[in-house]
Amino acid sequence: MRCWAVVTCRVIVIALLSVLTSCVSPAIDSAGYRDKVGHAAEKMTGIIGSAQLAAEQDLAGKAFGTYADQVISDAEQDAQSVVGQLDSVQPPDEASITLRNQADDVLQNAAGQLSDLRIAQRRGDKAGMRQSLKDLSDSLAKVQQLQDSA
Amino acid sequence: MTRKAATRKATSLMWANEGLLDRLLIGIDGEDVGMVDNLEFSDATPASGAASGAAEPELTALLCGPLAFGPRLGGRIGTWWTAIGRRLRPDGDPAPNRIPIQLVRRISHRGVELAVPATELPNRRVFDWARSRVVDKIPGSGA
Amino acid sequence: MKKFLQLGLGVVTAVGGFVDIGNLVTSGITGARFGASLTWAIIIGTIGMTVYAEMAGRVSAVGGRTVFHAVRERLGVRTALVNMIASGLLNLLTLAAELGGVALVLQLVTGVNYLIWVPIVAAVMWLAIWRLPFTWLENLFGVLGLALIVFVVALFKLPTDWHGLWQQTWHPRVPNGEGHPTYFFYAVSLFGACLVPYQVVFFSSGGREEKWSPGSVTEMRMNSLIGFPLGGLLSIAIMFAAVPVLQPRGVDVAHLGQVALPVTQALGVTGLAIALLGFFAATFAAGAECALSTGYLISQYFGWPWGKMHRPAAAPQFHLVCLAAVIAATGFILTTIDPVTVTLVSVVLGAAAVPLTYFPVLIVANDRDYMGDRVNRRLSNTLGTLFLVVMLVTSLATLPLLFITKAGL
Repeated sequence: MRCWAVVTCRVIVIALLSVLTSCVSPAIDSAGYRDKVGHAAEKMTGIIGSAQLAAEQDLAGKAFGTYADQVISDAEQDAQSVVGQLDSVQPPDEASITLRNQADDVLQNAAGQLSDLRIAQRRGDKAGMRQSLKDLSDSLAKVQQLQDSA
Repeated sequence: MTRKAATRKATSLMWANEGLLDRLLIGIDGEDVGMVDNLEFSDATPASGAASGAAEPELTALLCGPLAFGPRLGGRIGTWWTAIGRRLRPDGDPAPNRIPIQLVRRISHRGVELAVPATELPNRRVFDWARSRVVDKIPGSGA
Repeated sequence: MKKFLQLGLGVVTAVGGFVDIGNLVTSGITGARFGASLTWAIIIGTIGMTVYAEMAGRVSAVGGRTVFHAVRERLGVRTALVNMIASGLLNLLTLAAELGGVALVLQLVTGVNYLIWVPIVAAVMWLAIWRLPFTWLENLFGVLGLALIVFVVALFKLPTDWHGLWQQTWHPRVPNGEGHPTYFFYAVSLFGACLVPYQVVFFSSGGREEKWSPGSVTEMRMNSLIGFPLGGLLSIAIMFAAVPVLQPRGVDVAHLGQVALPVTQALGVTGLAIALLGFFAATFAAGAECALSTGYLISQYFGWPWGKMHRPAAAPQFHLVCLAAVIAATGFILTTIDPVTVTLVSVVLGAAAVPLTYFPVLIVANDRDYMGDRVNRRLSNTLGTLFLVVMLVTSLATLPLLFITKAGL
């Protein structure tokens, strides 16, 4: 029994340690930072894709309003969390700061347009939705550029 | 038929671990009554004044409930379990619930079948508590 | 004719009962992210589920043993206690995920935040457990869950690349840009979604609820051998539908609503409505089954009277456990933890816990004293043992994978 208790304690301690260590992200170098930007851009691509799909379906009368609203709102929130997560990483050097400014522009922009899309969709403003969709596909191209360059 | 079963049939022996412990207790009304948590044997030392010499230990009762279950668990958890079980007893009696072996009708592959209905057994305190304190108070319990 | 209808109903119920929030989420995620390259995980998981459900059903019908009676008999008090606690906690996690799933579906339909729906859903679910007869509970939602067939219909309306899907299914490769740990993490999650331990507990206890006897073995076999593979097919359809719609746009499925996007794309409002009905029925039924399973396994461990064949007053501890399970799961999901994350964690831990419930079933199914001539044949034993080995390896790999991939992020 005691032997089991010791083993159990050890397992718990190891599990806790690994949880803790996975929360504290280690300091990264510039290559690591580029990876993070690339990852954020990749995520943003999918988020925009999801919102575009829902908005297009809504415009085509394929989805009902609450559903499209939910998918777009989810995308908007996900986009903001992607921006927030990238912002919280400390860029290690000058080059990374330049990259950060560039990435921030593109990602913030996309997040803003997702908000525009959500606002237009909730108001039932079809023209506004089409406009936002157009803006979003421009943003998508930039996000993909960022993903390729990073 | 497996060899194990064959031997058992031939000598009509039974192993506690195979056929008794952790088996379901079933009342004569077909209801699940509990589990065989532990066993009670008569004392093997000769009774005072017994002329026939040493008596053999005999299975006298099946035990169930927290006070029988706790010691089976062993270790700290078992001690806790027993302690909680003792608290639950109204009279603080440290003896576990007994089902005298005379009440056993037969031991089948379903479990230990008893000759009395569930309501006549001593191990219904948790049942009664859950029923009177919670379930009966909710409409539609069929009480 | 009536017999025939009854058989059909049983099969349909098994199909509907197979798919739950775990399958919806994991199939959606993996289809969008890995295409058809993880189909093998659903296939293996479904085979395992079918083999063991048949075994558990047989043990219940012929041997009169439900899973947790067998667990306690065969593993001894202590190991069985650990087993019961682990399975119970896992059930709570799954129940929380299902509750969140139902609430999310209602949010998609009404636009009202899911957190407001959670307590309402929980109350209705508990009421269904308390009042609805067992067969109603099982059949009604099983039949409604069949609405998920829209995913199959959608596949035929979408520009599905059947050849490509076929290729990926039988020659799976880790897609570019995905690491092996992530790939295997999602394979484990698909396993777990097909095999959630509560389903075996539910299937065997449900057999007693429906008063299965040795004569019911054929019916039980039909349910498990036809119903569960069809359920697996539905999971594959959900996965495949995501491939032509979500994968090209790089969509990462993180919300339940996104899983329905392919159906909406193919079939419009009607399709969407049917899909959401299917989501609702599947998650609601799974939630109720999960709560009942928690009651079953704890009651069976202690030998308490259990089941809906009794009036609640005749099985008070069982109903108390079910009620407590619903309340605990509700509280957990109301902490605003993301239901999709809860789902992922629950299926992955579920995969790790599979041997706990499956091993005792395998043993009892081989016991001639209980099973007579209905004892396991070589096919069941070979498949069952092979599968158990696979699941043991999976169990050992699960926790490291969970930490390395940070739950698949």
